[in-house]
Amino acid sequence: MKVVTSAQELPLSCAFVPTMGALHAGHGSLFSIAKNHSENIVASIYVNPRQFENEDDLKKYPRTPDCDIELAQSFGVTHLWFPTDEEIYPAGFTHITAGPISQLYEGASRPGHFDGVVTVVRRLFDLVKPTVAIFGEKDFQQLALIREIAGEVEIIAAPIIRESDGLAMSSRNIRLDDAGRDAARVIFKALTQSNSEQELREILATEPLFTLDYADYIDEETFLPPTKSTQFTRAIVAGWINGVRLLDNISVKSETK
Amino acid sequence: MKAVIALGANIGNPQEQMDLAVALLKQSLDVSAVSSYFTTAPVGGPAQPDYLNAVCIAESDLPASDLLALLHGIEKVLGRERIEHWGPRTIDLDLIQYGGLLSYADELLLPHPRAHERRFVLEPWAEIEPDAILLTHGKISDLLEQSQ
Repeated sequence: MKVVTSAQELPLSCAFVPTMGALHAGHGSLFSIAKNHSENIVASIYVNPRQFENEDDLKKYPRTPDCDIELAQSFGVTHLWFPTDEEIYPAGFTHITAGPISQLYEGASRPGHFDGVVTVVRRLFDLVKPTVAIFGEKDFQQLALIREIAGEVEIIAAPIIRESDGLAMSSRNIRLDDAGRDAARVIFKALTQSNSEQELREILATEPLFTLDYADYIDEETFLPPTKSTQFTRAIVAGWINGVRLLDNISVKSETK
Repeated sequence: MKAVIALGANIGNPQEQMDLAVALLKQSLDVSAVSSYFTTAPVGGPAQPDYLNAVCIAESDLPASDLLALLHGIEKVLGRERIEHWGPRTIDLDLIQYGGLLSYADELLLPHPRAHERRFVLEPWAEIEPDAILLTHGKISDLLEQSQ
């Protein structure tokens, strides 16, 4: 594996996995999927300041470069790229605006977040010029918005990887204390044991350490409540435990509520 | 079929919510015209902020009940209870008229039963479609004159 600090050292054609580091088995699954699409697997590690609307969250975002190099190597990454701020955001760089879905759900709670995400992803695509890029379904709204700006890059969605008790893997999970980590199981329990939006919320409400932001059924295409013309419905959940923001989602059988 | 949809908002940041509602409509419908946003003082009731009102014209193949579900969906997603600090964000979306449909069902009255007397519907509508006719009531330019 080559560790590089400039996009000029990257191969001409590749499968690309952009990350913010603090790599875990969830990222590992993205790298494994990338292997099916190219001999060259490029991963980037860049904690993008423009997608943090909250200084404190940016400061607290875990950074583990040594472990990241080890994990990337073990999952077959061929080029690990640590971009510099100067390369990503040269002087005079202008950001792009994400589509209307960016204002809902995660976007409503984190103003400007998705503009930051699509801006950095588009910039990374322009520098790497990958044939395919792999993103996890855990950030389901992000995935939808990235598809809108992907242009010629094929976007592959990777299923959520979970801990043995069902908690979706996330770099933020290590910030949970023991009681919080225990309480976090309620999210997967609610997603898998409910048959309606209301039941989903009822199960989440049984965990006092969990503060709900939203728990909704959505049409995967529009992010609006499902209607008769909805093809695919997804249950999406977000909230906080120990002040740590947790997200999860699951596909549900399409039916009108 | 041509749908005439009225939008109104007066809580939070009405301008932003109207913009977002229009963007979400465009995602699902073929929107051909959106009026300016008109400022309207609320009529009766307790004191509350002015409304922003607009009308948009869209083409749709959806059954009327599905179109209505879409409008309610946008209302719901913009009005969902905020747990955090940005406070309420609500918007009203009314289906005023849909093609030549006449409906007397409780859950869907078409054309909208009070549109003919609502200046905040007629005025924006007349701006983008001056020759339009409100079914069972007549030319909206005449209705607008009568409502003065």
